[in-house]
Amino acid sequence: MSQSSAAALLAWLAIAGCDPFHTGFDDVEGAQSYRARTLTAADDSPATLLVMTYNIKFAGGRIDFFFDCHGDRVLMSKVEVTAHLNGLAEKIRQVNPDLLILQEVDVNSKRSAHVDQMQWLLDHTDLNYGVYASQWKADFVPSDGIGAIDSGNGILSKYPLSHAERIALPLRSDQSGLERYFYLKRNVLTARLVLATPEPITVVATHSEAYAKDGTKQAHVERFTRELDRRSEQGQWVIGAGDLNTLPPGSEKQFDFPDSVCTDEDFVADDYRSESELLVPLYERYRSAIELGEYKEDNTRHFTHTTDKNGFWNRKLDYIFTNLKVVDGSGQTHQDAASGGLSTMPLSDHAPVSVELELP
Amino acid sequence: MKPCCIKAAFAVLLFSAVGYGQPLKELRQWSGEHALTLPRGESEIGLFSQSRHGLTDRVELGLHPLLFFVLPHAEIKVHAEHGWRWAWGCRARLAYPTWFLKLVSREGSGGLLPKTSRPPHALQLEGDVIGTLSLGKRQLASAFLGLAVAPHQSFTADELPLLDFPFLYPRFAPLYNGFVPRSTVAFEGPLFSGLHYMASARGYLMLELVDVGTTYALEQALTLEYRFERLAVSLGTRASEAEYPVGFRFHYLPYFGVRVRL
Repeated sequence: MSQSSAAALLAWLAIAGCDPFHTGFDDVEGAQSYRARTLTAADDSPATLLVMTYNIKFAGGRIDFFFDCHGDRVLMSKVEVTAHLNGLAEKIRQVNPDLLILQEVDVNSKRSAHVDQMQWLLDHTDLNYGVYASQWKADFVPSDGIGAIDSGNGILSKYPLSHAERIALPLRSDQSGLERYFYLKRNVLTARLVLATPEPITVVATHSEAYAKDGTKQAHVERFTRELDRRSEQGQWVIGAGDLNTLPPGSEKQFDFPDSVCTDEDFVADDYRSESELLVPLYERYRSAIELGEYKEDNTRHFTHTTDKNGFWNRKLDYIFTNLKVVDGSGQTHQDAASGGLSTMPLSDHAPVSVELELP
Repeated sequence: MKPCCIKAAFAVLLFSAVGYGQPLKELRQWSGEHALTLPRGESEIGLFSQSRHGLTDRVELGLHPLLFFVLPHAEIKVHAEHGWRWAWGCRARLAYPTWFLKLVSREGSGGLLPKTSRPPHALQLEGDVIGTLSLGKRQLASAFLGLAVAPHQSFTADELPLLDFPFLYPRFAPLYNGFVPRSTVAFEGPLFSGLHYMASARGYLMLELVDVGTTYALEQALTLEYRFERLAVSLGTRASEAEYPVGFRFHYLPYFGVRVRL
């Protein structure tokens, strides 16, 4: 789009109202609540909590979409979405987490045939309650044929959730006003697990910026860390998880990944060298599903992402941090049948990570 | 502007206008949402609206000068009959939407449909019967009843996903479900000096639309226009309320127009 036509469209947007396509959010607002159609009984006083984080790529499976430059697909049929959700649900049922933190879950998007994936997964697993915070919402995105979108972060749990909040994260400053208007507006989603513990357990979920070149990703990770710190200092138990879109400190390979085939600078996320220390505060202050020492022994066993369906996981982007006690040796990266019981490569461009936590 | 405000404006204008009449033939200076046509030989050029030409005293041709090059179309309005305070006529429009659909099937900005879409060859035929009544001093009230159909080559959902962009959505709906009945009520008249108002409400009934089912769209327009002898400048708003695959949504956009009488 030329500068003049972009300016004209911006002027039109300004005249048409502040938010003609309903893309905006408040700084802090309530999250959307969900409940499974049929509740499954859960242990009343569990001694441990099995936690899993999973970026499910809006149930896109291994379809080659336009944005990761391996293909040109934009929209899926309902049959495709349901087939992918069936695969994801099978994996979730196999792990059987008490708490599942999801990224890139669509609830009403044209690209995923308007299937409400939060509700679908609640209805097809033993999870009972959910909260959702959109990170990309628009009545219509007039670009690439995307159309209507509502995609974001979710927390699903066997136990009730309360105090759910969507906290807005800073927006990118390296985009034009028009791009920013229709672009993702990321968030930190928080909720309390309703369990009979002496102090509340708060779940903090996020999905940090991937492509910004202006420090937005760093700001997102810092805000996520601050939220964990704030609640931890208040005496709360915290479980923070998500796709942080950055590598652990000390990663052997930090740039030039073989699956990065995008030439458009807007979609290149291939060089992590300038952010190699970004997660140090999290690793220093919290226990991790995969401790840094274990990761450094063999990076490859804990990789969680690749965009290449014909390749294999080649970097770690997904994390669980907590101030609860981790059950020794329970942290797991579910890469394939050998490491998690089922192959996860066909299900998403991310592998799930899980850990078992001791409850106080 | 909320739909209820526009509806209230219609009501006020309607009741204030009832009781007075004026010979309709005196009101045929500017084209509009009514059964009257431009006098023979008169032309009107619209910058962001249809341009029209009075082919005969009863036949008016119209096309949008900018839109024509991406969405070839032509419109004809026939003024069938009139009395002292009433007139009726009909309007027909023929369009070839395939080029436009190809244009918006693109990567990046302006991509309303995926670039992999393969829009079929299609024609869009629209017809309306129009009745107009002179209600007050140069006040016109009109009602339209019409149907849009779109014969086309067969296509799959991958070849042409639903075009659900606001305002375009009900206009392209016949491509997906065959036909769309529609109805309009429109009012216009002078307010004071050269300032005129134009207000209209249009409903579309979309039967068994893909991904949605049977649903409707409502559009409302409110425009203020200052008319000089041969130039008219207008400002207004267009509002749309419709059920999309994502649910009901309300949208509005500002409108600016310039018309010149030749």
